[in-house]
Formats: sequence, structure tokens, C-alpha cells
Amino acid sequence: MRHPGVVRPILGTVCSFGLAALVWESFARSGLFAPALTPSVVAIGAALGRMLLDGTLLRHVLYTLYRILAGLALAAAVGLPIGMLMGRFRHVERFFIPLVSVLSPIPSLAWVPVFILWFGLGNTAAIALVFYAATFPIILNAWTGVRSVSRLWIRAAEAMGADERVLFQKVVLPGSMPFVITGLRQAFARSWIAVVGGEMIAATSWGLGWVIFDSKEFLNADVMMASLVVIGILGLAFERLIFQAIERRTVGLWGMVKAVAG
Amino acid sequence: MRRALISLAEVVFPFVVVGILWQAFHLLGPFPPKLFPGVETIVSTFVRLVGNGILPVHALTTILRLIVGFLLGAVLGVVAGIVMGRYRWAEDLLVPVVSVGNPIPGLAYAPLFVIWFGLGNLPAVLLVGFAAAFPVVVNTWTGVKAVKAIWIRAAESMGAPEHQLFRKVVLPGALPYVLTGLRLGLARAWRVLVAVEMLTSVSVGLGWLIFGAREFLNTDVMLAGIAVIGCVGLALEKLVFQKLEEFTVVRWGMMAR
Amino acid sequence: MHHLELRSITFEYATADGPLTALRELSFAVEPSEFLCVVGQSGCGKTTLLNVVAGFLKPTRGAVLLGGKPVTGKGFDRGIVFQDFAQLFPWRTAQRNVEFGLEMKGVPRAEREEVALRFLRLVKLEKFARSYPHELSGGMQQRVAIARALAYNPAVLLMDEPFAALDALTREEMQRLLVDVWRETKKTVIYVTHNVAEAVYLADRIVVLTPHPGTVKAQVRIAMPRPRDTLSVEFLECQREVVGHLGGR
Repeated sequence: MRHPGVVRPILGTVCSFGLAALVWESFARSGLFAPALTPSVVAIGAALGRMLLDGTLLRHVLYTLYRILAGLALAAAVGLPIGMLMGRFRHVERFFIPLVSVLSPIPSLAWVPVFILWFGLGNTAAIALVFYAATFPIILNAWTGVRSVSRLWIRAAEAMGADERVLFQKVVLPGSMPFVITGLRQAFARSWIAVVGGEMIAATSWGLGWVIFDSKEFLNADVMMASLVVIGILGLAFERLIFQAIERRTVGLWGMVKAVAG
Repeated sequence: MRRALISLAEVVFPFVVVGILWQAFHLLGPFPPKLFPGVETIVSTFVRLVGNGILPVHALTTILRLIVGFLLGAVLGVVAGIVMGRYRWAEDLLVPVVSVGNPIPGLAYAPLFVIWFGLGNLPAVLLVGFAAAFPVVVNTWTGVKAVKAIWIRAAESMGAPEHQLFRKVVLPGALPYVLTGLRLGLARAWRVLVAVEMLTSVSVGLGWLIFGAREFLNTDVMLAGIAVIGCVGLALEKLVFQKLEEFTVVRWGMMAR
Repeated sequence: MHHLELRSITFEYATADGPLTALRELSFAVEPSEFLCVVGQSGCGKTTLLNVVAGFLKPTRGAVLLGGKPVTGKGFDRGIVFQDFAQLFPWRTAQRNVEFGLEMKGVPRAEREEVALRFLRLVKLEKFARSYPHELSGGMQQRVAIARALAYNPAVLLMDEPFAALDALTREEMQRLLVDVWRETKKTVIYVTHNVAEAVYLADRIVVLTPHPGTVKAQVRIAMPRPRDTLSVEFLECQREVVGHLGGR
């Protein structure tokens, strides 16, 4: 046990997943539900391997990721300026608050039928959906972030001769970073939901959401569970590899938030 | 009086702007009017649906499902979160499960729940509770860990036994986080519920109303349903969460308003 | 028999490079209704000492005796005031904070309220009984903390630099108030501080600690009558003596 700080969480993770698998397995074998409905861990693994080998899994993942990233990029391009302007100018804030507070509690999926009518089935509707789901967390967090920038920093920068543009670029933007990152993170999580839901409803024959929905039709519970596992792994990978890395290199480095270890 | 009028105008103004833009798009845009109805059509549809009782029935059913499911998830989530925050073994055991389960959209479980519990209210309510529990667990857990050590010490030095410590120190100390978790949980419950109502062919509910309207290209009905969803969500936030916050954490100075 | 006695307390922290001795063979006693100050530089183990007496830390060797009986763990018999203003529960009003210890003892509500108000009056805060901590100034919050630690009638009051984070004027006012409260309640007090003038102003007796590891360097009895004049020759002499013990070998 040379590295107790590392071993312990890993051990915990292994135990936890082992336990979850065990519970699932006993549940699957209990006969409470038909075996077709609760496939064993082995069957799920086999389905995962099969999909991986014939290349369909990769294609589903790529479709889903494309929709998410495109929608997310659009949402950031629209949401960040709106949120930041709201934080910086009173009348922009007053204009957008009522709109945001009515629109943001509407689940993005409620728009699916409307978007299908407007854009037809396919990528456009899915991207529009992701855009709707991701915009509000980005706006709300950018707005909060700009307001949380310390007045002292702004005064100090102004005293050193910073004009509005420099102030924005060099003080307000980095100062609001912790919130902006949080916003992107939340937006990403909501994009997943939107895209999976969208793919289920606006079936396009590719995408992880579509696989899940499609396998329900044919009672392929193993494929369904395998897709769920993939969604979970992708979400975790994005969190670990992208968001936490960005955080460590910016706000964590600046001591503004405690970066998550590992 | 004058003040109230001005602030009302300030709230209404953005909607008027959006309404004008919408109307302009309706008249000049590429969509046929059936797919992009004018404001007057949407409003008259809304009034008609409220008048003949259709919209209230769907809305009430949805709200009932939401509340039952959410309460289920909230209670479960708070309890699990507290146990995780206080006991190391529970933390080691549950954190990985929660951190993988949390990012999976609640809706992705919908087919499983349908397979297991059939159609109707039961899977809908259970799924809503299940999906809502995750953010509640995560935030409660974080909140319990963020309870200041000095409060615990002070309470212990005054002889507080474990159960009193939970009820009178840990729970209120973690409340700002718990409230955030409940709020996130409710938003998630909403999303899942609307989707479930669309997908699992229940026969009443706002999601079903919106989705069903697709068959006949009734975009006005869809938009009226969406408007109700927005208003209910807004009302829950303003009337429940903001009030709850005002009476607790804001009053205690633990959170700025 | 002493009221409170520390018998050769040794405390070691476990660190990566083996145990680190914070306190070594530390012994002294406190008499009933005595005001004892423990003085030492930062890092000499004062807070560790207080935490041992409070029962938050278990000494590696030695024992703490209260009324002749060894104390184990935490209990009703010791009240604590910390330095941090955040020690009050933000979700309880001043009065409900003071009631907490009584609540834990199962005292009925009417009596709790009466006792709480009496102690708030003692620290001159009866007007703020219904205020929440965030509505009070730092000095007022510390007064509530004192009332809270006294209200359930512990045998000893432990104070860990309670006024260190206050401004100089408020601190003086608080010191005067504390002396009044102490004379009124006849409580046994152990007060930890690094401020020599404060110790000479407050204490019947001062225990001087030297650091690395913490050991008792000297004990100085302050016999001056109260209220003490901080500018008198006598006061300055006492101060010089304590500083001498702190600085010299």
C-alpha cells in the first residue's frame, strides 16, 4: 500500500461496480422478470462486443456525438454573449430575464414534435433540440459569472487604464470562468438527455437513443443495457478528460476553485 | 401603483417583442401557416382548450404524476445523500454508482421501466422519482460534507447525540445544497415526465397532448401545451422554491438573494 | 482535590515522518472559580491542549481529571468558545443558539427560554434574542457564543482566543464584559491566548507554554484587584515577567 490515496478510491470503484454487477446478476437470475427482459452481465458484455466488432456502435456514437457537439457549439455561440451582456448591462438583463425564466423550465423534449414539423426528421431537428436544451444553462451561468466578478478587480483594471474591451477580455471573461465552465458542463449533461430523447422520438436509424428505443421494440434488452453502459462511459469520459482538464488548467490553477483530483 | 405598472410593463415588453418577431416570421417566413401559426391562433386555441376543460385535465394529471414521483425521489435522495456524507463505507460504495448513473439521462431508462412495469402511471411515477433522485443525492452528499466542522464540534461539546446532530445541525447546515439539489431534481423530473408521456402512450398528460397533436399537424395545440409547461415550471420555481429559500437559507444569511 | 487537573499530558500527532510531539509531560491544575490563562506563541500547542481538555483529542499519554474523575470524550461538563465567529448555527436565532445545550439536556421549553434570556442579558444582548447570527456584528456573535457555552452550566468554560479576530476597541470592551460575566457566574475558566496583555488583564494565574514540544515553562500568579488598570506600573511589571518567560530559555 505505497499509495493509499490512490488505491482507496480505485478499490472503492471496483467494489462498487462489482457490487452493482452482482446485484444486477442476482436480479437477472431471480426469475422475477423474464430472462429476455433482464439479461445477465455476460449477455450485456457480449452485446457490447458484437456491436463494437461490426462497427455499428462506433457509427451510433459518432452520430450522437456530432449532434451534441454541433448543438452545443451553437448554444455556446448564442448563450455566452447573451449571458455576459446580461451580466454587464442592466437593460439587457431586464429584457432577457422574463424570457429566460419562462422558457428555461420547458423540457427540450416538449419541442420535439414542433421541431419535427419544422425541420423534418433527421440531424437538423436533433441539433435544434440540443441547442434549445444547452442554451439556458449557458446563459444563466455566464450571467451569474459576470455578476460574481469582484468589483475590486474591475476598479483596479479601470484605474490602470483598461477600456471596456480590455476590461471584458482580460478581467470579466477570466473572472467569470468558474461559472462559464459549470454552465458548459450542465449544458453538456442536458444535451445528452435531449439528444437521446430526440433520437428516440425522431427516429433516424442511427444514434444511441435510437438504438435503445429500437431494441425496446424487439425486446433486445441486452443491446439496450449495452447502450446505456456506453452512454454512461461517454459521459464520464467527457467529464474526466475534457471538463476537469480545462478546469485544472484555468480556474484550478488560479486557485478560484478546488480542482477535482484525478 | 405607478411603480407596479412600470415593472409589469418591463416584464411584458420582452414578450411583446418576441410576439412581434414571431408574427413577422409567421407572415413572411418559409413555413406554411399550419406549421407556424400566428399569435392570434395560438391564443385562441389556448382559450378554447382551457374553456372546454381539456387542457386543465391534462395539466392536472401531469402535475400529480410529477409531485408523487418527485417526492419519492426527493426523500430517497436526501436520505441516501446524508448517509453518504456521514459514513465513509456508504460513500466508497455509492459514489461510483452515482457518478456513472447521474450523467445518464433519466429518459434512457424509460424503455427498461416500461418493460418491467408496463404502461401507465406506475412506470411514469417511478421513473420520475428515479431520475430526480440523482441530483438530490449528489447535492445532499456535497452539502453534508460542507457542513462546517466547527458547528459539529460546538454541538458535540454541548452533548448532542448522533440523531440530534443529524436533525439539528447536519440537515440545516446542508440545506443550501439540499435545496439546490431538489431544484435540479425537479427540473429533471419535469423533463423525464414530459418525455415519458410522449413515448409510453399514456392516455392523458401534457406530453401526450403535445405529441398527439403531431398527428394532425396541430402546431397551435402543441405550442399551447408548451406554454402551459413553461408557466407551471415558472410557478413551481417562484411559489415553492423561492419561498422555501426566503424562509430558510436566505433568512439565515447562508445564501444571498 | 483540584477542580480540574492535567496529569502529565503528552500528545503526538501522526505524520508521514513518524509521530510529532505537540505536548510533552504537561501538568497543571485549576481551582474552582479560577480564571486561568494559557499563554504561548503560535504553534506551541495551545489549541491542541484545549482540544484535549475538551475531549476532541485523546492524549497519547496522561489524563485529564475533572472533580477527581478522569474525563473521556465529550460531555456536558465543559463549555467551549472558539475563535471563529462561524461557530454559531446560522439557522437559529441568538436565543435558539443559546438554548441548544439545554435542548440536548432535555430541559422543557419554557425553562429553556427563560435561561437563554437570562444569559443573553448577562452578555447585554437581550434586545437581539430574535436576531439571526448574520445580523449581528462579530463582537456580538462572540458574546452569543459565550452565553451559549455558559447556559447549560458546564463545570469549566474553555475559551480558544475568542477575541483574536476582533478589532482592538471591541476586544477591550469584550474583555471587560468577560470579567463581569466571570465574577457573576463564578465559573472556572481556561482561556488560551497569545496576547500577554490580555492574559494579565483577565487571569488569576497564567501558565506559560514554550513550543516544540509544548511544555509548561512557568506559572505566574496575578494578584492585582479587578478591574485592572492596564497602564499601572504593577500591570506592566506583570506583563514584563510573562514576556520574559516567553522569550528566554
